[in-house]
Amino acid sequence: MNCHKAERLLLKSFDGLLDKDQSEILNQHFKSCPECSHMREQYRTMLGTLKMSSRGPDPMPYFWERLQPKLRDKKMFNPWALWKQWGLRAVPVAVFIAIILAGALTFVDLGQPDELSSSEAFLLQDQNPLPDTSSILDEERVEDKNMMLIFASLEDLQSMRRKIP
Amino acid sequence: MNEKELVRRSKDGDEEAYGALVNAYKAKVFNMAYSLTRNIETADDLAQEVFIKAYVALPKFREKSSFGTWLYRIAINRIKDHLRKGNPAKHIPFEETMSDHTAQEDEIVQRERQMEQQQKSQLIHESLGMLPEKYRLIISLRDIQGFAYEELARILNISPGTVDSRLHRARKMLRKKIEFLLEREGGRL
Repeated sequence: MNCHKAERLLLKSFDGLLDKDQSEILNQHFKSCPECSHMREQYRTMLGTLKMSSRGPDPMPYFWERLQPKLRDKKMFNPWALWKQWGLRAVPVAVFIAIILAGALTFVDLGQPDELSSSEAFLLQDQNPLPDTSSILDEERVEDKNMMLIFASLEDLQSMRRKIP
Repeated sequence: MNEKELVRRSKDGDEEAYGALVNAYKAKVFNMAYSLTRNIETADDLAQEVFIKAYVALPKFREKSSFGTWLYRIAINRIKDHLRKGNPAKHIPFEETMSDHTAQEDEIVQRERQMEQQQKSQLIHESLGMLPEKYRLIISLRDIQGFAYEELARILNISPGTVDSRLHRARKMLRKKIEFLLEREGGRL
């Protein structure tokens, strides 16, 4: 066994993780290696001292009495607790209200507006937006249609002319 | 009343039940903080903060681990935060007496031994304070607080194999640091 492995096994031995055979081999190594034997003493002192310091001082007096008011302050505004208490209960109520509203919007007839705009009338009621031109467009003969268009345009131009006194 | 019942009652806002949990764990949490800060007041403040944090977080505790493991995890995180914010461990001489063991010994010998032990302890803790945080933490939890490997793995959220290798490296490192300080001061361990 080399010293490197001996150190590994030695540290495991402090945690009680060595079996009988491993302990035996380790002890043999210590008998033949004064350096490792010295290292074992150092580790023993080091870990023993650390273990002893586990018996440290006690917390300062009135630990709980000092803690209580701080806990009460936290308790006064605790968003998570507030959510847990009220938020989770509010969810089914909110869902119920949403269902009622959706049903009302679906089944209740809110009625049509009284007057439709020209675009709405054209789209929704299929009304012709140019009622004056329907008589021209309805003409079957092309000549008649052209003549009527000419007269109609002349009428528009006459209305724009200056009146001769 | 068992611990689970105390936890359940505390979750429901029973202050008395939480008080029982605090009394059961305050020494351990305080010592955990003390072993890493070496200052009684700081350790006490940290322990109080840990219990406040735990109280606030209690409704979120799903009881997948024991209350103790969960609490120690909070404590470790809080202590780590404290150490990272530029609050290294203070090397105050350890005022521990071993009167139980040496009650029948001669007073002078006893005092000498105590002084020697205090010096050793101071040196070891000084060396411990020089280690990187993760090694300091694992030595503190294993060799001072005496946590088992499995519990350490749960608290630190690492595998037992990592606990083993990290602890091995940390102890080796600590011995080297002690040797270095002793060489500098011309003493021996």
